[in-house]
Amino acid sequence: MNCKKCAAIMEDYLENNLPSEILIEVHQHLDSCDQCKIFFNTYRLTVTLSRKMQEPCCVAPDMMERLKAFLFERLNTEK
Amino acid sequence: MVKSKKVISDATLVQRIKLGDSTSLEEIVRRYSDKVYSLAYHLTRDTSAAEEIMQEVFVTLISKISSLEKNSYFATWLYRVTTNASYGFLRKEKKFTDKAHVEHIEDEQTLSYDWSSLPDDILLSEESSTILHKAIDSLPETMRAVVVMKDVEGLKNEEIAQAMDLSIPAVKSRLHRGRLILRQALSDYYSKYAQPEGGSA
Repeated sequence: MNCKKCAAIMEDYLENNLPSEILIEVHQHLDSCDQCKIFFNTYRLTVTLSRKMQEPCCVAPDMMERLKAFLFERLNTEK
Repeated sequence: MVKSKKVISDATLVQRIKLGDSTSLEEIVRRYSDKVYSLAYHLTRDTSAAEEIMQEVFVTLISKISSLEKNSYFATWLYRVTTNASYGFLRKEKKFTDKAHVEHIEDEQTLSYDWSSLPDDILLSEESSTILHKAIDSLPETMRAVVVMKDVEGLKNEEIAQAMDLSIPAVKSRLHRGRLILRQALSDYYSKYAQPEGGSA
């Protein structure tokens, strides 16, 4: 395992998609390479922050009523 | 004894909508309106646009559902329609920015500052949230859609690939490059909190 390969498989690592023998190699590499450890920590946290920093948004009840009214009007004109 | 209500699959609902069943349409709207609105909002970051896009998406559903060959692909088809409508809005508003910097992003591990150990009040501050949002908004359209679908909406790579008509390696590649750009933006911002080496004595 080298630094370039370690970075390239980060997505599979975060998804738990790596076979156990590769996983061991990644862990061994991260234990011995400070730069990759920093890269891994900040890469993983970027993914976490992307999710955490988005405000959850859902359709408010009045918006849902507008949507239904709009769609059923369209549905009736299509008939 | 309470009987458990059997959940009707999307594919069955879609089949019924094709036959003109408005109750099934209502159920699909109930199931997917939040998802469509959320994706449209996170791509456009505009609540009015997201509502308009959501209406447009469900109108497209009514008018084009008969052309959907595989009913089981309904959800990813809906995400595709949502993404395309959002692109349409962003193009009209000219909200896609310069992509040149994307070409220079490499898998570089020359970073010397580990900002992952910063306290939450810095990591989750309003300012860093603004930095991250700006960085997402600066991504080229396909990369932006892939990052939002995966890291914000939590879709699987397979679903994104189907929705975006990309191969799974292409999804992974755009996701990785997009994340590198976001990480770089955050690293630049958080670097102001780095302690100079040996400076704390």
